[in-house]
Amino acid sequence: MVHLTSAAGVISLLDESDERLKTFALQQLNTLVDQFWAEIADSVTKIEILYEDEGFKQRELAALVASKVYYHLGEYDESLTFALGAGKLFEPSLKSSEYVETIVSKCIDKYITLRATPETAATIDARLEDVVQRMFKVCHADGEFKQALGIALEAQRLDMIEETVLKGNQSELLTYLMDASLSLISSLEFRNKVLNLLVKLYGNLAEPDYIACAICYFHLNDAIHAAALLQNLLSKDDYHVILAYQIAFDLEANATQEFLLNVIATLPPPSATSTTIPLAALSVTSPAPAAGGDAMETDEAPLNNPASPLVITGTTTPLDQIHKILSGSLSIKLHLDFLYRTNHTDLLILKQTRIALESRSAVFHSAITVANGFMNAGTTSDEFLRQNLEWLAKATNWTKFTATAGLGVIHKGHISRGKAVLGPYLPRDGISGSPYSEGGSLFALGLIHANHGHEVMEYLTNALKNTQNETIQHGACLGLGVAGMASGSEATYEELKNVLFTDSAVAGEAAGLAMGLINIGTANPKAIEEMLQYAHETQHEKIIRGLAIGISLIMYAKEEAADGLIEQLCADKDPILRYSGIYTVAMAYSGTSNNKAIARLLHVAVSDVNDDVRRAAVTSLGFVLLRTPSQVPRIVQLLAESYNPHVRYGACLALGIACAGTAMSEALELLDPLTKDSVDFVRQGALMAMAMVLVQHNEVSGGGKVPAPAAAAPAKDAKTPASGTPPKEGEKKDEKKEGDKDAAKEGEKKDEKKDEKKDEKKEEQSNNWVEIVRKRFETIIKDKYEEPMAIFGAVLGQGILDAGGRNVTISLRGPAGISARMSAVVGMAVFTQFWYWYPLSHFLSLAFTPTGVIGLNKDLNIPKFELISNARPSLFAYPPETKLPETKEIEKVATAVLSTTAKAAARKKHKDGDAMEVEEKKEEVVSPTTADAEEKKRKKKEPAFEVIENMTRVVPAQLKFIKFKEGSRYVPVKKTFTGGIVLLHDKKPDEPVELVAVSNLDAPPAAAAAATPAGAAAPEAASATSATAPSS
Amino acid sequence: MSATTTSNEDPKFVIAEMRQHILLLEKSVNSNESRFATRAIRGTASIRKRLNGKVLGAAAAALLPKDAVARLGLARFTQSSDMDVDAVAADAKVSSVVPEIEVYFGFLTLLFLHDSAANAHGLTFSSELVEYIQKLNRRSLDQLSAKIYFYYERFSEIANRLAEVRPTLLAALRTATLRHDDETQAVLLNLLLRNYIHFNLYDQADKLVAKTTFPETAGNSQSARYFYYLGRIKAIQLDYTASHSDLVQAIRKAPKNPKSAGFQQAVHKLAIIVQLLTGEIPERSLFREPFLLKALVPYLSITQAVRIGDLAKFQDTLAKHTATFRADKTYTLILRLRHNVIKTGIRMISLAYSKISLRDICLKLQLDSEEDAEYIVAKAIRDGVIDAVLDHENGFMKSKENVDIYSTNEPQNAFHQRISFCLNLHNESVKALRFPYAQRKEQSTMDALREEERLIAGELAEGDLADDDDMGDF
Repeated sequence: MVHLTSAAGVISLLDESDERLKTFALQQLNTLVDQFWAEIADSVTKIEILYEDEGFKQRELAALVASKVYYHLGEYDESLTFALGAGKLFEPSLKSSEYVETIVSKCIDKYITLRATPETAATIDARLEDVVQRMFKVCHADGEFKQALGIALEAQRLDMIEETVLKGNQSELLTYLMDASLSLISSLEFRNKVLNLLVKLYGNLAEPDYIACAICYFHLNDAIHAAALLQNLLSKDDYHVILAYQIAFDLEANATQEFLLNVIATLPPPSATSTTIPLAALSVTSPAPAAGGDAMETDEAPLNNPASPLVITGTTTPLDQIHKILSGSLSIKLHLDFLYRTNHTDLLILKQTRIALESRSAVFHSAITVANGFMNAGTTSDEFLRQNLEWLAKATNWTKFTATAGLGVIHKGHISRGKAVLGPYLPRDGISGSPYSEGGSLFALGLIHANHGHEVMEYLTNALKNTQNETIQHGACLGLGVAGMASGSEATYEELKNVLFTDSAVAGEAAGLAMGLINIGTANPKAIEEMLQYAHETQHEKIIRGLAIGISLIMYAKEEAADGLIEQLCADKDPILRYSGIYTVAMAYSGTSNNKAIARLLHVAVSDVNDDVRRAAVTSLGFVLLRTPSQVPRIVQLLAESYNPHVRYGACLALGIACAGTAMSEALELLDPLTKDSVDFVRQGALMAMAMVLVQHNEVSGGGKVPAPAAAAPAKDAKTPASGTPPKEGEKKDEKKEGDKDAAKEGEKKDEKKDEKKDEKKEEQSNNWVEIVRKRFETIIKDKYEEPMAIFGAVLGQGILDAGGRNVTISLRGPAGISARMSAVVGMAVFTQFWYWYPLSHFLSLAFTPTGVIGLNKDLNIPKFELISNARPSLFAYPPETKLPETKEIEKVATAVLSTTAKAAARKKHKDGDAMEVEEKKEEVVSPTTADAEEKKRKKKEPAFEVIENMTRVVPAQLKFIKFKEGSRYVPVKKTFTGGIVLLHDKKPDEPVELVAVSNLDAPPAAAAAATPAGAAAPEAASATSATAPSS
Repeated sequence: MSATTTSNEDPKFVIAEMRQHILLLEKSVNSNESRFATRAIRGTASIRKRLNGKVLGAAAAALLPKDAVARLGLARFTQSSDMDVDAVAADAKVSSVVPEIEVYFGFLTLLFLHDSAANAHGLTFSSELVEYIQKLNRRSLDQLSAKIYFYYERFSEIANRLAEVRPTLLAALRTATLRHDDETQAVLLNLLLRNYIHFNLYDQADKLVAKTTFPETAGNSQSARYFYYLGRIKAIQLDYTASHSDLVQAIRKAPKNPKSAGFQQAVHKLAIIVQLLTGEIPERSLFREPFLLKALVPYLSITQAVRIGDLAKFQDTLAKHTATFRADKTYTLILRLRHNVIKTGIRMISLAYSKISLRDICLKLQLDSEEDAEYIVAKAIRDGVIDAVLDHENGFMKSKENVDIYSTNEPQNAFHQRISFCLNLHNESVKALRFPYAQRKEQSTMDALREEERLIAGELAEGDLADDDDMGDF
């Protein structure tokens, strides 16, 4: 074959006048263009002229050749124009040449950009649309439905979305669409359209997916339809009733109070007993007592007998139950019961800390009370306070306020006895107590009823009205804010505004904050305007600060709807208002990973003149990115090395917020050096952030600190923190060493020896992050010369690490389909204000989520049932309690035991012995001497799975190992298991139901404490589990 | 390059080293950092010397899964070149590897085939590999695929089938451009230019250059080649100044070590001719460089002839070294020099004599006739080579007084040229700098990094650009 060396001859034919010659030339060029494009490019104008010549018959061919030439030249826009001109000659299909592929992708890109705005959407070239349309057809024909769906979503083509879903595998595509619409669509308006479409599609399925529908309604904020859905389900069979319960629980867990109240108002009123209270008054008063009313009282009688199962009178209709669920009282009760039952607080840690910080300043007193609150959050165990009454009495002024408010954290959710517990501290007529404890108790009352406040709103409002003392006002305002979170109650707002206008710094700060809390996510323009105006008028920085955070909360989850306000605030002269602007970004875009928001934050983080604003900007990155924690370490890496300590501090918090509970090793590696920073408050931030990242991880699951030589390698481990277990780590290290030897084979032997020595040393020092962090807290607290700020951070860190009796995690991410948990995000945002005002640190308790599995049957009782966790029990076990031997260094002894456990576990993985259940928890009961023997036994066989009972802890990392037993009696109604409250479908309804004994929480506290001292429940549960296990 | 026969070393050591490289490659894939892959590829230089069929067979058995493309290909060729693969230890159980490792093996096999002159096998295997890599779209593969294309072209060249591979290369270039695969793009551009120049298709080559942009991030060796080809194209197209500056760039970018001597000689040869064509005389010291000394002998005589304007010597040299020049592909350019020799001769005469008869000029320059001499002098005057007047009536040339060169812009221009050269050099050095490793790393990590740097430096010193001399003649 003769090879052409030039296309010049063919090109010259183009100059001929005969049309046939030109056509021939074009045909030739079309085949030659891939080889001689460089040459043809010089005469592309001739081809263009041919294309533009109306009389020329082969115009389309000319366009195709020109398009190809431009494609080779890299001028894709030109190429696209000509390709469109080529009409039918240009055949888009997925699997042809790179040229077609490129042009089609350009086509789609252009189409998407044009569709983005309505003005340009009208002017779209019909040919362009045609190509895209053909692409859809190709996708459908090839079965590439997800691809088509993605394009349709980006191009905002609702009709195509619908068509695609109907053609493909519906359930799979709908799930995909749901995810995509929530995570990828940035325009709220279009997202709502898609959600509406989704509801329609879900409804049309053969088996309508009601749970997904409910999520859509929740996102659309469509309470009326949600209520209708529930009603519809209630009118069907038992299974659907259970489904309705599940949906109600999900809504209750994620939706705002306002939404829930609207749903309740739309539903028909509960039967019989509820006639007394008109539904219109729901926003202030509560339907719950009415709904539960008599039923609750009848409950309480059997409850006093601790052994009896929880029985709800059979007369209640499903509708009543729904009311009860939506009002939140049931789930709060269940969570409280769970936390109480499985409480694993290690009081020894607190005690050690208290002793170490005994005689020092009030800051430490606050720190310990706050840490105590965190550790016991929701467990109702005030054991520590009881044991240290004398120490507690040392609290003065605001310390007293904080201490009293701490009670609220401990008893969080203890609605039935909240007021009774706080009784001694609450303001009473005629008796004048300390305003600090009175204010604190009001705040505490709010915390107990957090996000579920209708029962106490009136009481708190009265308390606010009846006092002129600014401390009490402060407490009452905060209490109102927390209890009435996101209720949008106008009356409360007015009340708070009155307090604000008294222009008292202390009361005004709380009032400003509370005004925001009440209106979370409402974007109430009136409120924003009033608050902003007052912020400009007042002289008090404290008030401005309160208002600043309040304003940002109002814009929660409003995304681009908040842009105007953000713009305005960020341009303000007053740094505090710019600070507010930044927090508005954080709140409005929390969990969206929106690029624009991130860009703004990063810009402010390095350019603002005010340190506070910069700190806020970096911290806010954590909120915006909370759904994609893996990105955060990379983004804040450089900021964490900033010269500016405020920026470093912000980086710490951002890591803590976004990576909370993930034990991500990249985050920990970034934080590690910051805990030794030269600036005290950076150390504080880093210590707390480490605790947040490691919350609920034990010495096995926490992941090892990677020794330096291997630092670059195990990037994989980070992705699956749960699997980053010591045995794997060990293997890696061995490999590394081998590798090193090979490398050094030619080199000097000295180096090799040195390396090995280094390795050994490393291993002695540190094997595990949790261990390292615990130890670091301890040394910092005991160090007399350490700065108070850092000690404060360490104490809080201890509290966070073991939060809620080790049964809660900090989780800002919502379950599937919901971007962020509102109360958690808000709680975290206000918590970060503790920089200015320590009492606000109690707000972190809002971010705590109980991590238990709570299964309910159709009567909403708790039956006995079992789950299987396909992981070694030690991986997710509670950390062993610190023991108190004779030596003074308690923690050290404890950790020594731990490291052997970890190593033992490591060795075991290789052996993989036959499964025999040796309950992990047993270890806690055995004495240290027998522990060794026990360990030897366990060395041989640790089972590869464990059986989990109802009402026990399941940490988030464990969720993916959870399986329901095949053929068991109870089957969950939700397909994906996400922990929390799970409604169970009973397959054998005729058999007698065996219920879990409910704890006796509503009895007077003294009796309760005597009956079950904290922790005593655990061994019982353990023995119960081990008894049932071998049979499986 | 005859490494195949000499090594009787235990394959274990070579395999251990390969394993090291494979680890690096895996690291590069996992961490998405190309520098590890660069290190692995650079390290092949030392392996290459010790490669033989036995080693390769053993390595493939130990490190690759049974059905790997590279391994199947390898088995075919090593058996046919009768190496006992059976002597190898039993297969290690490798279930699957990343494509990078397969391609890496393929690359090693190609090296082996190239060094053992098994060109036919090389061609088949390399085209198979090219097909294999075209199916993959992995950025971590870029550096390796660049190497594969390189040897694909090389084997085709040896087999004299260059014209056939051109469409493949063009298609691959398009793909590489679309995927922003800079490394492959650079290599392919160079290969295409080489291909065109091989067939004297300078026009095509020029158009390709005009319509494409050479990726800035490409490695030094590739940019050196690119500049060399550019220089060549421009020299043919009479743009000597541009050509010269390109060639200087090429010389500067080329690594200065004995391994790349072939390339340096080729560039210098061309550069000398182009410099002569621009009317400048190369430095004498250049011809004394040890690695250039021998190769540049013919060019030295040419330079000397041009310098003194000795047409006789020029013709002698040309006649004597015709074969060399043709091989170097500088012959046509040298022919153009004849004119320069004459011009220089006239200049020398005009400097030496304030007045000289045309007949004398004719004698001195060995021209055919007085008329010829008159034409040539007239042309030289018009071109500004000399400053003189012709007296046609009396048949003589009268030189004008020498002007003081320092009163013109000449020195300024010369300085400007040098200054801008220095500034460019500085800018490019700044661009080539890397940021230091982050300070937050702990001491031990820093030590490890330093150790790594030291290793890299060692490898660099040992065998950078080892493949540069694979290209045979330039």
